[in-house]
Amino acid sequence: MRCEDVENDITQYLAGQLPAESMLLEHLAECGRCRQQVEELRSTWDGLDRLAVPKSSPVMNADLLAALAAIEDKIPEIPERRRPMLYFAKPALITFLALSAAFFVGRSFVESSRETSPAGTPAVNAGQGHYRGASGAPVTLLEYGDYQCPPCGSYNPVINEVLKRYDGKVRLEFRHFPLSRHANAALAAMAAEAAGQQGRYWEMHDRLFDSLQQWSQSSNSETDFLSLAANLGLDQAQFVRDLHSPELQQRIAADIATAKAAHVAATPTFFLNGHHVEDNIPPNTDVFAKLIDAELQNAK
Amino acid sequence: MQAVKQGETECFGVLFKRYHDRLFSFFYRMTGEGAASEDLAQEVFVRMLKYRSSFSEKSQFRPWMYQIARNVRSDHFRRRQTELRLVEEKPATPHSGANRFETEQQLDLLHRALLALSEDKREILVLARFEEMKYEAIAALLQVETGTVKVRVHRALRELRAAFLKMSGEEIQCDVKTSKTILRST
Repeated sequence: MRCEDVENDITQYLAGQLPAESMLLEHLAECGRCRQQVEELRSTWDGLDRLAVPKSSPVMNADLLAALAAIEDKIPEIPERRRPMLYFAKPALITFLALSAAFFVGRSFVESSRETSPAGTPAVNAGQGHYRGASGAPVTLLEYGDYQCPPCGSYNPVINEVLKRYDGKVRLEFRHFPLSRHANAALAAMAAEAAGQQGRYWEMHDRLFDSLQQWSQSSNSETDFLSLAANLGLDQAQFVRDLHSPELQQRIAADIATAKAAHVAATPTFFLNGHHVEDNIPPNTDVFAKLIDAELQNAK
Repeated sequence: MQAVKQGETECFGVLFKRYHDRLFSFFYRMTGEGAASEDLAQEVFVRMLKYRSSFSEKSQFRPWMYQIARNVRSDHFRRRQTELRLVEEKPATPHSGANRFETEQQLDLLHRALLALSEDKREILVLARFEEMKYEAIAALLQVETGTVKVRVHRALRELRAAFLKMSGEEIQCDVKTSKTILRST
């Protein structure tokens, strides 16, 4: 072997893949110059192995969950759309609307290129949905929400107040719709699901919204969610396992699939007994109450 | 992947769990950016689903995955000119630590040197060094002869070493300048 042929085998030698027929070792035994070259390159080769890679976050993001949901053959097509329910039955509410206008600027829309047509009736959740309130309640308020969406956080106490006021008559179903531009939203949804595995879904749900400001911009939100789990007294090891569970990711994907099929384009989006509630409903208990009263009337 | 193609989407979670970190590392070594690497790794999985029909019964999963990863990487670099460039052409000034990587600073320099390589050289080095790919597999992926891979990896490694030594020399000069400044100010 000549010195100029060494380059053919040198990195394979460093990688431990030197072919048996190679004459490199014999050449190195005789050639000090090539030996020195190999040792110099070895230090660089070995140095590469010590380059640190930061810890990644093995949780499917919203785009991936949506792509996965799109190929789910279990998701039924929505045959037709219904008109959204109008909530401003009385002119007095228009004043309230005007006063609330600034709030709606913050409503979390998905990318404008996506579907923005009026929402249709969402499919029944194929998985185990998350319900809050009496199971036999005549009215179901379905919310598509994102834990990193500030407006969703503002609606949460209002919804809880509504559930209290209509105890036994209204129940809430919450479905995940983490927006792709919210970096921590998908993991937050997983945190709620992971807490649900230990029977504490709704407590985590409330705490995620209550502490939104603390973890929203966090570069390591997993630590924030672990801290919430610890405060709830959850089994930490199980919580961490569930936080990355493919099965729970599937559950979120199923929620997203129903959202997309129903043309949901923003969070929060509400449905009352399957009817789309107009997007700009203010976060006000009395406004929700009027809609619910009408729905209860229909149910009689 | 065959199972995913046939509608068993729960198997996709297994693939994601198994290969996510590997893809993240690949992109991190290529870009030096954690957040971008996370997005790029996820994009590979999105494209796996999108182009699942291209995975045939005869396909091997890892080469297929890396082919997608290379396309994602290529699109990323087309969008963003993130490659670092060496701005000064000063002669190398080897010092005692140049041959070994004992400090965080030296490892940081080595990573910067890796990022300073051209995209193609960086990629072949990352594939050969970190992805545990046989040279034959890399050759198949890049659609070149195995001999070409050997030569390219060797040249990329030599260039990496040269870039590292050059940066080490510049670093020493910076240190000296800093020391003088400190002396003057005190």
